[in-house]
Amino acid sequence: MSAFDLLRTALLGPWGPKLLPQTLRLELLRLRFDGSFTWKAQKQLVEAAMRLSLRAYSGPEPAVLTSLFTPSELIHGLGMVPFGLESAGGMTASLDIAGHTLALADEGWLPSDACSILRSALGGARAGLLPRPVALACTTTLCDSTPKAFAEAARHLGGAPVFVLDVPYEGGDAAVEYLAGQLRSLASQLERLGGRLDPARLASAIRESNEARSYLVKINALRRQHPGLLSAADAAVFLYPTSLLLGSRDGTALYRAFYEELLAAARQRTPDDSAGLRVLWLHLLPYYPHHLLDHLTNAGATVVFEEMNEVYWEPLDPQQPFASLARKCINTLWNGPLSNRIAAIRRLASEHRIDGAVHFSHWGCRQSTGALPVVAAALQADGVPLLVLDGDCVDARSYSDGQYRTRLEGFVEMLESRRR
Amino acid sequence: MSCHRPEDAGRSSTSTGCSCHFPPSGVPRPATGRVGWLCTYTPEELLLAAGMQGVRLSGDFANEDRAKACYSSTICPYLRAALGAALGEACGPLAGVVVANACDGLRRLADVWAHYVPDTFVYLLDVPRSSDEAAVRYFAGALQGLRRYLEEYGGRAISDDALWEAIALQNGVRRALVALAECRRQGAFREPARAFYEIVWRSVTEPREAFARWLEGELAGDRFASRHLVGRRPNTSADGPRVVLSGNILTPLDYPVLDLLEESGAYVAADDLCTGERHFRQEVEEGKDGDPLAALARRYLGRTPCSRMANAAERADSLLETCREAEAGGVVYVSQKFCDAFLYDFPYFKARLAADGLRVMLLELDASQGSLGQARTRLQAFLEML
Repeated sequence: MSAFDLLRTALLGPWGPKLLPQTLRLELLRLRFDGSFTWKAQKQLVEAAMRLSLRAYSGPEPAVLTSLFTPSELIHGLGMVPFGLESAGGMTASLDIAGHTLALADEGWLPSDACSILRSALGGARAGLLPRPVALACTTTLCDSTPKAFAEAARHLGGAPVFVLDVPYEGGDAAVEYLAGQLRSLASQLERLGGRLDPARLASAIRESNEARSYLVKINALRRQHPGLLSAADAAVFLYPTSLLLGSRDGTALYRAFYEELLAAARQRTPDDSAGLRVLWLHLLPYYPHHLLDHLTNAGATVVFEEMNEVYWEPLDPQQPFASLARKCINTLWNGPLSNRIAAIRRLASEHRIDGAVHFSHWGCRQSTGALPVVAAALQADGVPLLVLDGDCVDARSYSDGQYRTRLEGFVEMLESRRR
Repeated sequence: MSCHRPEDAGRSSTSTGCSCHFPPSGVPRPATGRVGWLCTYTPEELLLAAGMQGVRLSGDFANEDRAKACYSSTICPYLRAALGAALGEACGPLAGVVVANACDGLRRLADVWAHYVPDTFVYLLDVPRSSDEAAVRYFAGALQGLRRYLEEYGGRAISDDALWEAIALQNGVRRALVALAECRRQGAFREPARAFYEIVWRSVTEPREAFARWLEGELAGDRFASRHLVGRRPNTSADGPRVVLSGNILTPLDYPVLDLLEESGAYVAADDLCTGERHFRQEVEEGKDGDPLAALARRYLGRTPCSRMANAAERADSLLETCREAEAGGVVYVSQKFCDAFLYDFPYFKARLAADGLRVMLLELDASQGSLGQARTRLQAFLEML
């Protein structure tokens, strides 16, 4: 039995919840001697994620369970620790315990056709695998399931209060004012639950976020100049720091480290105008081990960028933290009419000079897949073929490698024939 | 052709945060005052005051394949069927559609509608998820955005007086429907179960003034049930186990489920549905000196909440009260398939109602009613327990 199997078995056992913090401590120790990472900054990211998780489980600061678009700047600015529910769902797949946690979700009558990322996280909550937060704070940005999943999670996490940030569909002064008021109110509520609302500290978190953002922008510029410099598999993990580490020193440090390392690597290369086929990845990648990117690479195509890593928000104003965080929440590409997302995809397609796009359609994600034919039509109008792969980001039972391989190879062949 | 095609994107966004998508210039606007809507958070009063006829959209299976080609197959079957109706023109000529930003399905429907349904406008109305004063202010602003849009589209101003008149008319319809619902709770509505919903559906599709006059006339003299039994079969289950329907939407496509309930011996005594009592139970507070949009905002956000609102406990409390008043022994929780908000609420509702000794059964609807046979068996077993 490997160490991974041992860990998995232990987590699923009755002592799993108590073992988790110890496991994280051991893993942090082990990481010091782990030389298997492609990039040193990657290791830094994993260490930062583990430290943050360990603080959520063991303190001393109070933890807040957050959703993907809850502004982490606010949580860090209050001296609290964010712990992402969606990240927990993804982690169940990475640890290969999603079969167990999804079964627990089914036992609880949670809707089997809904997003498995949230369902699996809720199975984890039922199993006692999530930390006990002082509060839960989510946004309504992504989908109807998120606020519902947070209400359900609270029932298994000691009944901590749930704060739902009602994000307006589009911007404008009234919308910003409405959401900024909610953010102010959330800050006050969290202060009563152990946070420290200090304007200077909040402004500092905003500055940290801005600095991290500036490095992410530079990383993306490097990736435009050097397609393939950072693989999609390595870049996919950015979703964690952009949702949970912005506003923290760790977040800024790791983006700086990534940028400096990539810059050094880029200096060893010449800007790449080779004829390799360039693919834009839309939506998510599975969290469990898979070969989707390998199949593309083997067929002669490279994923040059991922939609999820687009920097969609403007720098924040430390003097107006609530209003600028409200703008950031509202302006995400996953909020508002689909035309916003399409405009961003078109811009990325042009900037990265892509030959085609692949959309991994996560089962149960009404948000990203509900109107996908409109996205396909827009790309078609621009002469960009789109391959839609139906799948599930968490439930590995839905993964059919042979079928995916056939479709990806066929897609690349078609791209090649178009280029000729 | 709507201008919300991706190549036309970017035109229009009001300061109130709502999306409005005009048909492109040069396209003749249809000579109809009919405007479609889908969600019960759509304020019909604004359409009435604009001189338009609001029509709640039903569905059409004849165009299921066309709808599936442009709208996900794992999304609300009601909305897909409504899109099918629009694509096939089964819902008649429409000037446009007002889509309340109430759920994932509606948001994406607005995107798809703007791209695929020609020559109609699409207005996406933002609707907050809470009912506090900040939300009421924000929603009143969003309603003002819709008012301006309808004024521009229709070429005529919508005065406060016109709004108050529309509010009074709609309140009258609501009062009549509440009287009908009370009649049902008392067991005096002895028509087939579906007849109640057919009347409610008429209230959201027919010209309102004529409908209001008709319903008030029918209710006069307390002879509603007997008059309507002529030529129709009576409700055979009026003395059977009393149940409350809770959930989201029952459109005419779903009425076979009501027949099934009745055939199985259940009497539907009350409901908590977007297409039932939750749609008409609370009135808008009338007071001509105030701001009609604020009054509308307060009513729509403050009424018994739908699952998409933040507070599930409030809806559960309301449902328990309904069950007590209707002397129901059980709840049939009906939900359109893939409706995450309502389906996520189910385990919580099940536990809350069970704590009060109420039994609950979940019935997922897929509009095609392909699984009614299974539902019949489950329903019969459920009713035996009541």
